[in-house]
Amino acid sequence: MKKFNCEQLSSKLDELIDGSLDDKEATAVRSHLESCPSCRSELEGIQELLTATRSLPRSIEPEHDLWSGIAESIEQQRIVRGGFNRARTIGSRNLWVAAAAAALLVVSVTIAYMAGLEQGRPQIARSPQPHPSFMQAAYGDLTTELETARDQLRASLDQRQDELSPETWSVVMDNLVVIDDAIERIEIALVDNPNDGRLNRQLTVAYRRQIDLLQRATRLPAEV
Amino acid sequence: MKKTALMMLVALAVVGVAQADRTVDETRPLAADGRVVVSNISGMVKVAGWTGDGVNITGTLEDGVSELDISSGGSRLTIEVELERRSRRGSAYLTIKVPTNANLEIETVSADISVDGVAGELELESVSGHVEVSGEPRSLEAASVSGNVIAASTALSSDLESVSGNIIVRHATGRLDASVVSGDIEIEGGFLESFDGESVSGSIFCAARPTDRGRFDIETMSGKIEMVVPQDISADFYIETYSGSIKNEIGPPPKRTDEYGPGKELRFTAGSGGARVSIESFSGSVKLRAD
Repeated sequence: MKKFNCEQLSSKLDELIDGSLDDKEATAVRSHLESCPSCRSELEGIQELLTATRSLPRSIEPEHDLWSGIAESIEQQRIVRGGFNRARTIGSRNLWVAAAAAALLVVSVTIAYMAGLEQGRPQIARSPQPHPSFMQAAYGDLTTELETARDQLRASLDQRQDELSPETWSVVMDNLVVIDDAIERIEIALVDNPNDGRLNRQLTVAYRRQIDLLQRATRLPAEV
Repeated sequence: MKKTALMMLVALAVVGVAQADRTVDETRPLAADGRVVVSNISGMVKVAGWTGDGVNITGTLEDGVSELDISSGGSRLTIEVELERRSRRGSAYLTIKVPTNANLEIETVSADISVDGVAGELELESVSGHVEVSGEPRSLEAASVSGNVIAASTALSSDLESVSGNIIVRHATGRLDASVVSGDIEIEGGFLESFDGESVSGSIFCAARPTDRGRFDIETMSGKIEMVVPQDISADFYIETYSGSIKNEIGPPPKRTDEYGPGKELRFTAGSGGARVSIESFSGSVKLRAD
């Protein structure tokens, strides 16, 4: 029977859970797990994470008004122009906002859970840590979705440039750059430490901050 | 002849200017716990709680403002500054007195907002104007993009946001969420059940102390974090930074999280513990300073 050391086995745990190992490898993995508390702990961590993920509601109210603000924007289908009482239909902007909202709904659920999972805070540190490769993959997926949501909101905001004063536009753009810089620095740090939970979490937090800002900027009343 | 014509033109211009500014003085009924909704583009919205009946609105409407539209329905009074059709600018300076327990929703573009002595729920938002609150509202949501958000005291539940402006709280109480991107957060004192402070590049200064079971979560990417800690505090501290520094004047020094990496962390209990203070930064420095 094939034998694995802990490092080799670590890369097989995801496959064991999703049933993609062949019979021989699965038997070898199970045999190792029976005699290795450390790897069993890793496996339990992954299983707990999956159980918790499955038990997540299909939709939740995200932090910081992420979804409700966008939903409100869609529902109102109005922005204020030249005065708060003179609204106009936003037309095609709805499509962008709706698309971004759909992406954000998925993202926000994940952010809320991942943020709680990887805060590195004391009550979490005592829990079994999820498998690094699982975390990396999960954060990778999340980052992609965040980027999509961000890009859609940015496209929506660009359509409003002529409605915001140059001063406000400048403040929004400058601060997007500030967050971009933070994202870039964290991503550079992640190159050397791809499995660092704190860095991964900080990256998602930075994206969330950027999305918060974009969402808020798209909802600002027209100034000109 | 030319001189006479010129003088007449000047006189007409002066009359025109004088006519441009109109004053407002209106009083409308409102339930003691009713909701007042105000929108204004530029100028000022100043609201104060009073024991009189209803809502009293006084102020000045400058050139470019079409009218002040005041409408009511149920327990809600709406006050909207309308600009002239082709006008892009028009300032209104409004002073509004409302029942002490009224709830407020105020939205402006560049107009500053100030609220004093209103005990209801406050929702205040400006694009570039400053937002300032004093008194003891039941709940407080205040936000500006580039303006400052200043609260003399906070509510049982307060949510303060700015992008590039500063958030300043003189005496914090209850549960406080404060969020900035490049602006700074300054909590000058008080007792908090919870404090959730976030910045990207802005600094965070906190001199408020947690209640016995209080929870502080303070986080920044590259800003500085400084917390002033009283000598008799009982709290568990959890501090982490990826590449920033940690300076601790009230307890043990930080440890490296990795022999080869740049991370540092500091975990210790002051007094008998109980409250929890979590601070996290990516590259910003963290300092715990003794009071």
